[in-house]
Amino acid sequence: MKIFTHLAAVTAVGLAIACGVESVVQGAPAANIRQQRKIQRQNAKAAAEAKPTPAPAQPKTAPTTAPVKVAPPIVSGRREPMAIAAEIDRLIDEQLAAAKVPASAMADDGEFIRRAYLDITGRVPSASAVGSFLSTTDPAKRARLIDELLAAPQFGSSLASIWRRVLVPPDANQNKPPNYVAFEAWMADRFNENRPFDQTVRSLLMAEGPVAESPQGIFYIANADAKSFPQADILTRTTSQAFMGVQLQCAQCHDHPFNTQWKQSDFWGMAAFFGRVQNVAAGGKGAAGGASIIEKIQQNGAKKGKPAAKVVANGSIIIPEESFHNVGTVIPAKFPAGPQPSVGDVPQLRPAFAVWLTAPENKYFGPCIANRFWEHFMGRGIVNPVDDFNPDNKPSHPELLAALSREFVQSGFDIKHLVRCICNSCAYQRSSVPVEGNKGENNFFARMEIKVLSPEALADSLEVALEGRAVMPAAAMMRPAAKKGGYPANTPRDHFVNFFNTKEEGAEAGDYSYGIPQALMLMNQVQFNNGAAVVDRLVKTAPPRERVVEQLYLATLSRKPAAEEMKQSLAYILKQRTPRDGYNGLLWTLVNRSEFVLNH
Amino acid sequence: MSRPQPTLSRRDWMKLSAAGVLATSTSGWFNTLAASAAQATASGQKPKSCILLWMNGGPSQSHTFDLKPDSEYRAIPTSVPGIQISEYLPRVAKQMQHCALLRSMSTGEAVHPRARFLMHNGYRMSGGQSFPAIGCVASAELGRPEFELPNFVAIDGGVDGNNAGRFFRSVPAYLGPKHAPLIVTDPSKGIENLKPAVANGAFDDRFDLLESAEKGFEKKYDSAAALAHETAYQQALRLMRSEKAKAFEIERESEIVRHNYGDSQFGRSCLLARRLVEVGVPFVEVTLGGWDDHGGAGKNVKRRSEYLDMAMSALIADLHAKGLLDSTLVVWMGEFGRSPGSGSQHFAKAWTSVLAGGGLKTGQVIGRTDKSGREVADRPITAPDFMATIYAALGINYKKEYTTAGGRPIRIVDKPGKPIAELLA
Repeated sequence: MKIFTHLAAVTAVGLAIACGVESVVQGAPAANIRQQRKIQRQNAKAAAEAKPTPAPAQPKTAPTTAPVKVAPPIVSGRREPMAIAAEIDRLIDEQLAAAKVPASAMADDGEFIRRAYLDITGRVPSASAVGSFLSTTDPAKRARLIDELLAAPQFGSSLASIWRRVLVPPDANQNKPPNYVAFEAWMADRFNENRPFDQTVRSLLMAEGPVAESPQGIFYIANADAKSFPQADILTRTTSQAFMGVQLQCAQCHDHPFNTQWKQSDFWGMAAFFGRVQNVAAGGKGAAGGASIIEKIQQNGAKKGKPAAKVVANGSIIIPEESFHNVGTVIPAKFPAGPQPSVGDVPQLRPAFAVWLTAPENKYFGPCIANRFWEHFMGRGIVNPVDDFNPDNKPSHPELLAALSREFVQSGFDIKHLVRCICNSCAYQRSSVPVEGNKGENNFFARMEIKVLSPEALADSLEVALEGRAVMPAAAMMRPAAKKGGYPANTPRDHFVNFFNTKEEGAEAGDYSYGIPQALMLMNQVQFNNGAAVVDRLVKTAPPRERVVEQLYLATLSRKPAAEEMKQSLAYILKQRTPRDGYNGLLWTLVNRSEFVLNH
Repeated sequence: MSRPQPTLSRRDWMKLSAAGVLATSTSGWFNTLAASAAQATASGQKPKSCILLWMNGGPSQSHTFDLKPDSEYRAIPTSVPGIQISEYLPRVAKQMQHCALLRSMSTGEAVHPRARFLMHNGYRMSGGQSFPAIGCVASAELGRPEFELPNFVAIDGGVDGNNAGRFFRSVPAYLGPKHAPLIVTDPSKGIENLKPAVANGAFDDRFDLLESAEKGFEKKYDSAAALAHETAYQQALRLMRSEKAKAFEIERESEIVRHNYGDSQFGRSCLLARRLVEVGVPFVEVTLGGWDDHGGAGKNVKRRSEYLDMAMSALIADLHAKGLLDSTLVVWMGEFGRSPGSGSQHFAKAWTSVLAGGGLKTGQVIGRTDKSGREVADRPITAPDFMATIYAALGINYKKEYTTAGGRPIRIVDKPGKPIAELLA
């Protein structure tokens, strides 16, 4: 597959040369070039004035029995987001110029507000939000919007559902799905309070006690077997993919076949840090007492416990039978491709790992998280896929990745700051409409990648666009009472999200995975057909038809209709029995369009 | 493989072409890509189909197809001299000439999720690698791009007893989402949302307006995702308008036929499966859950046998009567068997699956367990052997290699797997 990627890149470069492309902005309308230059000037000015601001006080890690001390942070403060944005653009533009790939035009305000809302808050803007943004002449309105959205509670909740999917494997714990609601609420609060991300991750990895009190412990219930017993191998797989960006599990059964970076001892050495974790409340048979119950996660109704792996007294792990190779070998806790900490008699091994992982000098954590956030906004990682850092999968922009990672670490793992840096760049604010010379070119960030709305974003966007009658009928806005065992019951939104949860593992942001049943549901279910609160509201004052059409476009596609679209819409409405039938039908076509389900 | 269109990423190309969606246009949107239609099965042979009857939870072989003198049930003779099965499966016994019993399944995974994974995918669960399930592979290998219905349908045939977790969910993994099963949760209802919520004329007006808008977007943005979205809508529309969608309406069958399959969700599911195969769906999976009989299988299997016997025998007889049995392989199996005797425990060392039709040499028993039923005495059948046999019976090259998104080559069936030669005609 790598060969194909390279071939495509070479061909596209050849094409660009053949077409005589000289300027990296050729093809962009003049107004857009002016706008891009304006943003670049503003960013450069801000960069010049920028003084490092002190980073927020590095949070104190809860005192642990960890044998490894927290290294003194190498934090030197956080720079102006505009300065970092300018650096992002410099590094991207350099590579575009070198490859002679032209950049697309800047996104217009309609494209920008829709994208920023979807990426930062997980839903489209309301018609009125779009209307006022389009009419504002404030030159700094984009930066202001980014700040506003970062302050909205939906910032945390939409990021939480994204991270939940990263941290909870899709096949997790079939019998007893964990309480995702509490887990996402915990994550959402941390994102909204902008807690330093290293702190969040340590809190997650070192979760202790009843999950009712410490919902982050759900991480361990989710990375568990069918009886909710945490599993060291699953925990290792998830943790290495989520926070280190590596596929350590490829070395689970034998040394990595394709790259010699990972040995089987790296996988099981890391797994040993999780080996003593147990959910003392997990039910069912086979929950025999383990060697240790010191690192334990509790759930209501506790009876018995079982450690996450076969461990020996000092915490070393025994390679289990499923592994084919070196079965029975005893592996001591060891950092991946790193040393073996002297754990001595310390009963808790996870703090040592958590502190090692989130240390400012850790070479995996900073780049992995910076890259994951870059991918979220840009649709493609600098290392892509984001969970596959390896010597054969090099970053497309190594200096950019280093710069982002450095800033993220030096800012004290400040997520909102990282988002500001990325979203204020021209790279983020480019249109996704290709120009001659950058079609099919996705290694250069020459245009915005088109991303498919997640099931959650689709549900919440329908909610915004139809003004509340789509996914959750009014009567069902409240979550039904909890079922036996304390698990919250599903809401209509949950059912919708589950129905649209068709994405296969490893799919990219631009991969469309919805199928026939999803199309049939959106096309033919009554709530998407026979009008919505938005239509009721609009027809109340009997406004001109043009105005209704425009409002419906703003509510769904965050833009005004083009002249041709207006003409077609009016002709369609005229053909229907009543104007209301016409508006209902027009709204139906708008939410069923590619443009609605895509973040472009 | 032909050179991808420059506007599609390699991955999208693989996905779209594997999914057979590149040539499904009814409106000519995808002319540039229509070349892949040539990939449609052009071998001239009658295409094979498969109906997988999946007994979720692990059915007891001692109470179904591998009885011993000390079994809880009595063994009865079948239409094939020398072959005996459970006294509670008398109708299936009369179809034994069309069946082969594989009594030496030895697969080594005795934990539900791991065993379900292994026996659907042919690979052991390991390291988070996902594999396409057998239905998805059949969809990719046997499905026709121009076909109006999905190429893999999974029907929920009911749960009767302890199910030990949710049903296995077949994933297409690196074959692409178009090979995911279309899931039918209630065979009496068929596919939901097939009818427009507004009058037909009004629906057509809406769809026309949608279609013209889509053309503009696709042209401007040159997006593979938009193409896939439009394709899904075209496929959905085709299904709404297809005469063949009537295959999902089992009430169209005569009362006699419906009676033959029995008044059970499993029976209705088998009937739906036959209707789908009849119109050309290459793979249908019917799941009957509840076989995890930890309290002993005796009472429960007797209860289930009543409707299992009716439905399974009716299915085989019906396919035969319609001339479809030679081209349709029927598979009856669970993720493993149960401990000999009471059947209270999981047992993966020596258990039984059943193959019927499919042009195989039927009316025979493959392999043998010892007197205790605890060991395979003759011809152990591994999971890869079993999968290779199914694929070979369906005319699929089980040695074919796919490439994962990560660039790893993976064969349809893992290397040591070999088809059971005694079964292949």
